[in-house]
Amino acid sequence: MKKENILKGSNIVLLMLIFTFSLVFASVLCFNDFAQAEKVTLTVWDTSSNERPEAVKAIVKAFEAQNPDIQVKIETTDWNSFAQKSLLAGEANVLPDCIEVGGDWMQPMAKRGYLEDLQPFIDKEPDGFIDDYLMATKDSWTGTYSYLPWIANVMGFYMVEEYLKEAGFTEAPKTWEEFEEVAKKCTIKGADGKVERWGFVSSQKSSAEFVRMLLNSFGAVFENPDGTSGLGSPEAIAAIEYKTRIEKNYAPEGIAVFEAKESRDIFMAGKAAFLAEGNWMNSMLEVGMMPGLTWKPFLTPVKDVPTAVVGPEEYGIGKGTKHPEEAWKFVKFITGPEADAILVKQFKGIPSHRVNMSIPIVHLDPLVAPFADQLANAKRIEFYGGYKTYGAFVKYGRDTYQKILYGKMTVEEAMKELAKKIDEEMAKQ
Amino acid sequence: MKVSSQKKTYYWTAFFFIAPGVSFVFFLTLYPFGQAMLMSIFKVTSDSRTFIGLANYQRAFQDNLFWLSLWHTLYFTVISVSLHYFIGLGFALLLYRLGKSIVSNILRGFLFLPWLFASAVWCVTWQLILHPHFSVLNALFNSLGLSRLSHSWLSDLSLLPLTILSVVSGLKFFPFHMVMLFAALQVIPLELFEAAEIDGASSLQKFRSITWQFLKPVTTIILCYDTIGSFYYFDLVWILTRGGPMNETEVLSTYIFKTVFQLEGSFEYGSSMAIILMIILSIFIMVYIKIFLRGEFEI
Repeated sequence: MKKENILKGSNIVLLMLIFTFSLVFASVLCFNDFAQAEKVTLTVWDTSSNERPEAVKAIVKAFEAQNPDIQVKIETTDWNSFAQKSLLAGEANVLPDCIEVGGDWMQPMAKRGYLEDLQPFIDKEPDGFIDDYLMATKDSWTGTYSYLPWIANVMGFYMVEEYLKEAGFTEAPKTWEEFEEVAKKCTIKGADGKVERWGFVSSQKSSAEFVRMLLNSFGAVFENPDGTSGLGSPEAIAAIEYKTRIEKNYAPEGIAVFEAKESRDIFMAGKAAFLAEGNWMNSMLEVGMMPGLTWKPFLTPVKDVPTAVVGPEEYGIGKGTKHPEEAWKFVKFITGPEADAILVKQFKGIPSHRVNMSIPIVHLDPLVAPFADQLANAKRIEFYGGYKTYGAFVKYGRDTYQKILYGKMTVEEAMKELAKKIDEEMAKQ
Repeated sequence: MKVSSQKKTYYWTAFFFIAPGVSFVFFLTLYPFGQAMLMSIFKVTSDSRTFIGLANYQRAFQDNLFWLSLWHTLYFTVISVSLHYFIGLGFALLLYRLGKSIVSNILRGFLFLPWLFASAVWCVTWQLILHPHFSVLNALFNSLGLSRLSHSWLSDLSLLPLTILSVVSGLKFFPFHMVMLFAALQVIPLELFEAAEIDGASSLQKFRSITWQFLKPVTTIILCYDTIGSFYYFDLVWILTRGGPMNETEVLSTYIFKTVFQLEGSFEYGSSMAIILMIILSIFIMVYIKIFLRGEFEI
């Protein structure tokens, strides 16, 4: 009997302890929720934190300092899988408040209505807001600003200085004729007749840098005003004829199947004198280039006028965000001149705002200057993501280059077929 | 008829036991399938979702790249499944011959290794082995003085890159067949071989009349299973060739992936192609089951 009473008393004490702890725990939670309710938390998906984490942290810190009522939560995904994640989230209607977009999936994101229209936000900004951006473009499918650029990726070339000196050159080539001559002299064969070092290497993605620079430089119109493909034109044919000649004679065998990785491997192993890429290669070459070789970027050669090809990374607002005004504040900041200046001054970025073109490092740093100067001096700037036919070009482009390199078709036949396929594809969409 | 309370309890118990499994099947297979079907009959733009009926399916049937990818898928499946089976059968018979010995045990473990590699690791390793310029295989040939055997394995069209991919697949998945066939060989009563020996049967006759009869049921199952897996196989093609050069190694799984995530962002068109692929496979399985699993197995 006595034992039972003790047990009953213990049960009551235990229950009271559990009740007290639960009360305290619930109170803490409620207090936290209340405290958080004062702040808006923006979820931002990015891929740049992988490549430039300190830059993103600095920008977010600066933004939060200016907007104490907004907290930014960054979720980072690798570039290679970001397209799948973004598109799937868009289809499932679970996009974050703000999202970085770029590459070949930028247009599908806007086309499928996954991004908020930024025009109403832009309309509330002072006059000249958009003009300061070097390459803000309306999406070709929505006809409106679906995203704004925050990083300028400018296409160009890299060279190994020692190889040029060996071949008797002291400067980077300035014209395409010089480029071909240097590539030829930098191609070295061994005693057995096998090539030991090539003059040039590049990837064969449809949207490959070399192709885009050539098309722009040779004056090819990517898309005609009536929306048809301009890639069957004499200028486009001439550009691809040049590309084919360089790659057949001075580039590695098997280049027809090269992805970006293969071409970068070859260059970083010191097996090629030139590499067609963009300013994003700076950080990769700093860690991956074979020791003992001096590399540096140089301007796209000129045919008649200086040109530049840009592939910016952009920011948009996820459709249906619960915090549109706060999301706009973040997008405006991260794509704005202040964040741009942080990128340029601290992390050797290329300015995406005219106002930042006067920052000294832009024209003095040997890794930044060639790209920035190219952009500043270009008479023709191309941003291929701004064309409706871009998706179809990506679909059929690589196949076209391969047919030419494998000798299945002449350049003229292949480019005319490419233009026709693009037009047929557009008719289906 | 009134169901007794005992039966009711029985049925409810059964329901709760199968409910998790059924829910799993529903939410992870039937529901996504239904969503894909729905998706395939719409066209999506930035501000609308329009019903278009079977237009996406019609587009697929008129798409040359779809037919090319389908043909490549069939080719890859036939070659790789054949390699899986015959290499697996060869090693299973060898292990059966070796009987219970240390050599057999070591060999069995060694041969099982490819199966243990994660698919992506296997594919990346072969990417290095067959690299256009830093190929481990070519380096081996060169060091042995056999440099004329060095090739651009995945870019030389004369080498049929899709066949090379099938061989790489063959080397990865044969252990599964080997293990299943070896297990089937273990249950063959030795008396049957003794009786056949006494009757003067040749090796081929013994194989046909005894061994094959025990291998047939397992063969039927593993070939069916492997065919389905090979039809959908993605990793190898994606990592090694991305469908190139000139779409020579494009299979349906990579083409669908590109359509959805790279070329158009078109979930609708991708869904329609995936459903066509599923229908083709379903027809194959139904015909396969009707032909090969008809009747009971008897000795």
